[in-house]
Amino acid sequence: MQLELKKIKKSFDSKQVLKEVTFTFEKGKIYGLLGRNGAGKTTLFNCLSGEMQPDEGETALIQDGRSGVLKPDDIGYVFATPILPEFLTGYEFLKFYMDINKEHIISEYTVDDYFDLIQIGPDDRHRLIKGYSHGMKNKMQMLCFIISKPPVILLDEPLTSLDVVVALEIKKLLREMKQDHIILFSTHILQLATDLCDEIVILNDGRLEQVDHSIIGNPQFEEKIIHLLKDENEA
Amino acid sequence: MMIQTQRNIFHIMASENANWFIYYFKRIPFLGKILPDSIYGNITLKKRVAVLAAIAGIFGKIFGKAFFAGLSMVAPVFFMEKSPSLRYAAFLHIFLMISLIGSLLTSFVFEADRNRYICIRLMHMNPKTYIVSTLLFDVLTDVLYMLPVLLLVSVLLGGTLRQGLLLTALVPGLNLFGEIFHLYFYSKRKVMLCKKAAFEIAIGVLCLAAAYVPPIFHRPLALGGILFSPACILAGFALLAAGVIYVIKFNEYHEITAQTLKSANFMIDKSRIIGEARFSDVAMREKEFTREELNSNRYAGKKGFAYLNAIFFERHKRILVRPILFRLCIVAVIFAACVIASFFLPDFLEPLSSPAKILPVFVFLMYLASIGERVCKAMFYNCDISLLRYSFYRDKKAVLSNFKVRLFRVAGLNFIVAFAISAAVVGLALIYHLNWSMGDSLFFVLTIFLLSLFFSVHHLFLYYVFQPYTTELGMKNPFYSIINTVVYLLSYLCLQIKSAPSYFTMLVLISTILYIVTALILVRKYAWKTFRVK
Repeated sequence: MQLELKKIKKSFDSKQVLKEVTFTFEKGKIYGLLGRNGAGKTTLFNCLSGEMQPDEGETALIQDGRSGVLKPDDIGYVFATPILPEFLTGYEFLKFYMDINKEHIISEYTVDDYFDLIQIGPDDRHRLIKGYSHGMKNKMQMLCFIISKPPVILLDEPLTSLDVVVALEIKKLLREMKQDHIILFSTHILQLATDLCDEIVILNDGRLEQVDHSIIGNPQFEEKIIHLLKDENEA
Repeated sequence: MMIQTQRNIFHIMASENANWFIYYFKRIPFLGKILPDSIYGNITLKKRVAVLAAIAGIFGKIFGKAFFAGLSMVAPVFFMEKSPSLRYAAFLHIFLMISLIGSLLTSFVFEADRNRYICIRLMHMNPKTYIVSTLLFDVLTDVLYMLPVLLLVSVLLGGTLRQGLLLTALVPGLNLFGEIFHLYFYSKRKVMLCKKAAFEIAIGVLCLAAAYVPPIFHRPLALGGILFSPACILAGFALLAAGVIYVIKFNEYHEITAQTLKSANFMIDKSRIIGEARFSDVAMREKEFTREELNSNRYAGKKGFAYLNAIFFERHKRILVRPILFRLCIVAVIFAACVIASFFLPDFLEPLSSPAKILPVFVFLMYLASIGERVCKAMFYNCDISLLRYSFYRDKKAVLSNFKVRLFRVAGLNFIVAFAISAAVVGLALIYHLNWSMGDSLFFVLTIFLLSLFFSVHHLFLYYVFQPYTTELGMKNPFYSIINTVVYLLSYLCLQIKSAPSYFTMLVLISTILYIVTALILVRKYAWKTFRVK
């Protein structure tokens, strides 16, 4: 399975945020999307998820050798700040989510099984999401795509504000899931990218560029990345 | 210094207003494309836009004053006082009472708006200079806005231009009267009276009673002679002068702004603002629900959007069901009042004798009786703002099915009120033998339900197609406001029609049905594109 982006362009009036994004992502890998603040990471994600229409370009999902247009359904999107309907309990939200997405659900798991999976205790399941901690809300969002298993998963700065334990749990979850998905992980924290991701892609000057695999883990890696980001910015 | 302060404030606000104007102009289909984004940086053009916005603002204010005067003074005078010779006296009475007692209702100094927050907190202007200069600026410009209105009203009601002019001269003094009262009370007791509900209600009732009760009995105070005497005009100026001196000498503005301009209320932080908006009137409180309620299987039989909305309406009972109960109580009280009134005045229910003729009045009554706007706001801030981020929720089918479930729910709630109103009116007709035929009653009841459906569709349609709420406070979609205002004005106009010709009722019914059908078609066609977080 591959996700192919071809010449995606997006401008806001005269400001060209995405100049020409062309890239192919592959299944089984976690891609770290690095970019400075305002580089267009969220815009790219929004264009992929269908929240925004790109001005030009195509996105295709190639499954079993067949290429199809990327549909909003194919995407699981985890936002930087978890966004969940707060008037529902965690249990009710999951039940609703499973009802609506039942066509995409293959597993036989019940709502409670899923809660066990992400380690949210029986007491918390029947509390309003309004009272959930940031970490719990984040786990709920992760659970959404564990359930519906969309081929492509976009994570927008998901671990930045989590406590150490939850961050570790979620990293573990992501590593377990990566076999069957294309995972794009945007961050501006370099260490997180090198630690979790298999590949590093830089979004700079409206274009995507993969960092040479061999330099990951290299002692001069950080400097090289920073050099890349700065250089292209000034160009 | 004050003038300089005013100029600074004007520049800041002008720039804000211009940005606001451009922002929404750019959103007009086709036309908006003319303006590029770079326009926000075009200072000369923005200055012109700001001047335009300011001129529009002046006319808006004059119109606002005229509207207020028309509604609270001219219309009641025309309605209550049939004898032309007494009309001007009645007007003077109402004008003086509303200006004098009404000025106690609000206090500019204790208000807290965003502009004040920006100028004092963010730009560090001196609170005293800011408040005093804006207050005096407002009081003095008020004279200019009131002048055309009072001249016109005077002539309309049998006074002279000279009288209108003299009345205008009294305006600033009267305006400052309330301000001085509140400042004085604060300096003595440290209490902000205008924030106390009991005080506001008492003054409100007193003001209404003092203003309207004497004219109803054709006994307005004979003010003409006194008000226009040189002594009174001098007293008005003396009041103004004393007010200005008091306001300038008053020295507790720092303390007052510290108490009224709390940062939390003006944070430009999204989640905060959403939180505030929720808490204002659509808040849902966690403590309201017991563990059992949250862990019940009550909705286990429902699925998908029916499940979601069942829980939504259950959890928001406080803000949904209470208004309904409140409306039912009002219907009951009015019903009882009618019964009692017709006991003393046998002809009291006479206007009810022809159902077709009174129906226009019910257009406006149903507007007031229907819930919708607040429900939509609650839906947005408590539910849709988060779920709209999920692609499955934005799916065309999902949007429509959710719309359908919600329409049934909202209409269901409104139908309860519609039922009560129909029962009350038909009941009155039966009790007092008003000669309503079976057909009349049926026609009446059907119309009430149709109107109820109309307003249910109206609010949801506006919400789904024009989605007015944004994550930023204070930005409302102007198209939403325009359509909403037009519907309000039309409903209000219906109220003004005293004896409707029979085709009028049919006209109302047909346009109602047309509106419902059009709205539903538009929702079907566009809602999945327009129903977004903006």
